[in-house]
Amino acid sequence: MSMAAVETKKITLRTADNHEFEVEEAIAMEFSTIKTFFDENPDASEDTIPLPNVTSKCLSAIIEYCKSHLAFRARETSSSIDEQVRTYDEEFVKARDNESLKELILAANYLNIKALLDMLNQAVADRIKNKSVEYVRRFFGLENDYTPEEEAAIRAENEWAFEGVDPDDD
Amino acid sequence: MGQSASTAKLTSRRDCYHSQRSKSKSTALICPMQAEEAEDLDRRSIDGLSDFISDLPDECLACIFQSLSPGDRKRCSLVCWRWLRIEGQSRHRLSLNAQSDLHPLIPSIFSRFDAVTKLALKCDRRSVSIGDDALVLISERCRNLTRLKLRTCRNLTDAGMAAFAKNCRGLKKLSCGSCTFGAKGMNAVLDNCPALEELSVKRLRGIVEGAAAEPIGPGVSAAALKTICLKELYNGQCFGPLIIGAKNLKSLKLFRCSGDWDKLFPLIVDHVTGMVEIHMERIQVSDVGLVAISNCLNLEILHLVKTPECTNVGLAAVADKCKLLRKLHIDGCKANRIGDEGLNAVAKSCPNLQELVLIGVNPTKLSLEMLATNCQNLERLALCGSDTVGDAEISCIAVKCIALKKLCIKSCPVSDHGMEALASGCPNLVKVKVKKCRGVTSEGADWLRANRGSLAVNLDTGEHLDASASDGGAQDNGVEFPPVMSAQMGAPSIASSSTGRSTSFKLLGLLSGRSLVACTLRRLASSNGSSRS
Repeated sequence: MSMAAVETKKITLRTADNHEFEVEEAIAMEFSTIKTFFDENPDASEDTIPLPNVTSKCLSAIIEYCKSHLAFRARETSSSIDEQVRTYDEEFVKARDNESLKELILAANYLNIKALLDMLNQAVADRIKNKSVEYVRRFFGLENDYTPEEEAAIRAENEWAFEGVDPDDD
Repeated sequence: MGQSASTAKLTSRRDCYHSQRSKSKSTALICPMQAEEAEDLDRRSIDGLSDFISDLPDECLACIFQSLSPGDRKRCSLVCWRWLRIEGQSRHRLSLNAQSDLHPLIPSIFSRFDAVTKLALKCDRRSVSIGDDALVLISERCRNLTRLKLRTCRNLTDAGMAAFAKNCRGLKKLSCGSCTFGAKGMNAVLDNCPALEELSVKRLRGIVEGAAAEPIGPGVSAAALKTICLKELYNGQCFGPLIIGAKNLKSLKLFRCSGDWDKLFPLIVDHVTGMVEIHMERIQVSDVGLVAISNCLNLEILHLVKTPECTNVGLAAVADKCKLLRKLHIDGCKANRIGDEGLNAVAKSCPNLQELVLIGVNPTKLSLEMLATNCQNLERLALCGSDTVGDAEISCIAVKCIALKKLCIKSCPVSDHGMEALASGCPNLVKVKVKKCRGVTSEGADWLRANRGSLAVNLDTGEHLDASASDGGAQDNGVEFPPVMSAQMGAPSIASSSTGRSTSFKLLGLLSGRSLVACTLRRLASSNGSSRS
């Protein structure tokens, strides 16, 4: 970067609801979207970056996440660190309702934060495991657009596929 | 009739959704919304909901589906059309019931699942399986197949396999069990699939014995093959050319395949210099074969299961030269042809030994001490059906096996007294499992737990049904084994039993076969002092 600043460089992000967040460069670079933007526009370092698809609630949670994970990564790897990371991730998703999880996924997808996205997708998968079709529809706020005949035909087709996970070795 | 009408409707309605393949991610900071999402926005505004994009993008859904079981994925496919499409297009692994009635559904199934790379087609003995036409149809729609598993598809012939192989040349792994095609079909695969890394063949009925036997291999696959596993073949040695030609082979597993393996191994070892793993179970091999195997200087894993013509001499020959040996499993059928002598040789020459499983072998303190002292990396030890492993031997292990983490003792004359030794020995011991040792009681186990809190103690007296696997890697179906036979064969004897579910008559087949007789004869011969070449 062109600036020879003494302090850590900060980048300003503006959310959909017009809140401005000042974050350290290191954290902003966790968002691949932003990293790419800066790689392609090296002179744009002074501007505020608009994030029209991210609310302030989401962004502040995401910033917290990235801050914590950066701190974990700075420490030496060990099984106890792995354990702490696991616990942190569990706590991060545990209290959130389904709607807020979805919002976070959309934001993480938009900002292209792979690790967070994978973790959130896994959390959603865990919440819909072994649940009924109707439950899953409600979870996502989706409507059934099958006719009864269509649904029956798909069920009939599904019958041919085994449910179990195959052991690889036989 | 009604079925095909609705299938047709299904296909046509689905086709119009199919044109919408997953779009590239919208990560640009400018203009992120796409047409599909804008549509949803309109729909939801009409409904009065305030959130701006409530449907997750395709790739996020695909990622979520990836963590779900096939059963959950099925449920997701029933949520709505869009999910059917995404689930289908993101499904890479599919396992289908391969009965003949599957055939008419193949076009619609494989237009729904158009990205399958790992496919299993499983039929059962009582049903008619899909035939060649169906397999060809599938192969035309799954040209990127990397793995195929066939089970009991008895209507597939050589012609079908050949046509399949020509369409799926990227195949990396083929596993076929209880099929009836033969050498021509196998050779067709080997001639068309240059990337084949793993081949597993069990009970291929079309492979004939005797003079009419056609050799199999090498083909273009031989050079890529890393693992070959052959089970229950009447004429296993017809695979000789393939094995010999597989110069990059790392792992060779032979279970109950007839053939003169003593003759083949020297040839194999000459050409396959990088062999790392050899499993031999109930095949005709003797010290001659072992001497040949000793030239595999990179050998790390050796399983010698129920090969009663392998003796201390052969084992010592292997140990002497294969200094990288890490895992050794021996099931000696209580024939006493492998014992202290061979094990001492292992102790002397194989410092890297990490895992040792002895079934129906009678080591004494002499070899156990040597092993414990010399094999500083010995982490896992299993002793099953040994008449000579008692309390003194356990104490010896406790004192000398510094690296031991897991210990399994089964059907040995050990008592609570021996267990006491484990309270203070083996500083790294994490788990001990004791099974069917009459002298070890639950009081003894409790005492040990109380005196060594960090140690997981698993005691199974064998008085109740137990289906857990032993450390020997075999299925122990306590229900299906009459106790007499267990004692003769050494309890965890059916390592080759694949699914382990409908094994009872499979077991009977194995037990009533020649091997039981051969094993018994060996024991009688050795106890009579007569030797066999």
